[in-house]
Amino acid sequence: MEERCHDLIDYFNGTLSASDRDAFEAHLETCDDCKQALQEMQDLMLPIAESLPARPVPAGMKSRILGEVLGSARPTEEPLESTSNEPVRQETPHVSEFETAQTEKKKKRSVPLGWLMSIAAALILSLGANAYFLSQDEASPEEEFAMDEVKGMGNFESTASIKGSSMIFTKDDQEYMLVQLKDLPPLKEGELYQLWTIQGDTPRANGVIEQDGEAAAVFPLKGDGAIDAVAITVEPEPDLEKPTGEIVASVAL
Amino acid sequence: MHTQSDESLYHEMRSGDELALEALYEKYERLLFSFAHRFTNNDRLSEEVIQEVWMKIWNGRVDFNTDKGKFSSWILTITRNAALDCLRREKRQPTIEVEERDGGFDEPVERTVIERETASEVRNAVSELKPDQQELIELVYFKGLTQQQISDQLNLPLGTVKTRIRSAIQSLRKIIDGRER
Repeated sequence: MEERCHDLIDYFNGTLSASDRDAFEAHLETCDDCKQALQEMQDLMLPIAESLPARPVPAGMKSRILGEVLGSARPTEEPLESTSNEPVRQETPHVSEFETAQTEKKKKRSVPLGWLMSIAAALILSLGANAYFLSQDEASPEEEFAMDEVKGMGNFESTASIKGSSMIFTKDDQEYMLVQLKDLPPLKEGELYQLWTIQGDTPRANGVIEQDGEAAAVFPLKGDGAIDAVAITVEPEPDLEKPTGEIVASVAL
Repeated sequence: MHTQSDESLYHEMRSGDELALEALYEKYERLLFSFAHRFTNNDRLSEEVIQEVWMKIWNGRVDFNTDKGKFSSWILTITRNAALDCLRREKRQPTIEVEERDGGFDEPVERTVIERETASEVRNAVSELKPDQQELIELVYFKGLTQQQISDQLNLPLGTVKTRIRSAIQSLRKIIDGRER
């Protein structure tokens, strides 16, 4: 048995670091034994679930969940004041970092867009939900694409070697934020990258990236008004009211 | 509408069809709730887990394609991941809500096994396994422990853990296949 074969359980349970996970996925390509064992584990999921004793579903669960879910995906709608599963967080000192991010406005209008534009093209063409992720090689630059207006763009500055750009643009009267990021450090289990749009010194959760390495995404902007900056923090949960983690990258627009 | 396949409903939902979302939700509501509850042992947390699952699906933060097998297995995998994340969060930040739970997370495995066995209708195929295999399935599937943690907890050499788990999984498969026949 190869050394990597021992990672099977931890891979299945999502407890590997990003680099070990990538290494195990590469290992899976060559190890039929692990591939088969993993398949056996996954195939059992449905029979196990079906064999569990049925639990009575709480009254009103459907309307609560669908209400939250559908509310979350209407980009023009004002954000809900609070959601049932949003933990109440205390004010944290990290808010002041957003003020710093905002005051770091720099005159950087000429940004080398690179693959940003081509990704934007593919993303917007298929934009039917809240956000789309895709890898760089799936972008189709030759497809017709037109943003109505680019309202701001810039390169991220990072304390964690993250590289990338962000662009705010409008399309059919809706504002979108496009981000493309590289070298996102590995996340610990349960963590995610939260994007915040900043108006003045007020951050608003506006998009989640749950992967490390490379990511590109378009998020419909929540709220109205010009965005001064975009910042990224590492958080234990998506869409908290206020950031709890330190800013790992930010860009003034 | 309900005769549509999951895959076709999923694609309609991804293009923004709210009725397709509702149809899929309804189809999986009971299964996902019972499944999530098996992890959290708590109604409120189970509902949170399921909401997180549908948020991710509706907002495109996870994406299904037929390369990933059946939709049912995929959505259960997403639910399981969300439930395990929920358990890990709860463990990291024990809150004042502990007393509200209708069961603890650190409940001994033996107790959950006994509880299930004394249920009026024992339908859990897992309970037909040998006790040591039941425990392994519990630790892997429902607790999401690492191989090292399982090795420590059961006092087994690390290398033996995977072999034992696989054997338990294959035994469970046989029980389930025997029932379906």
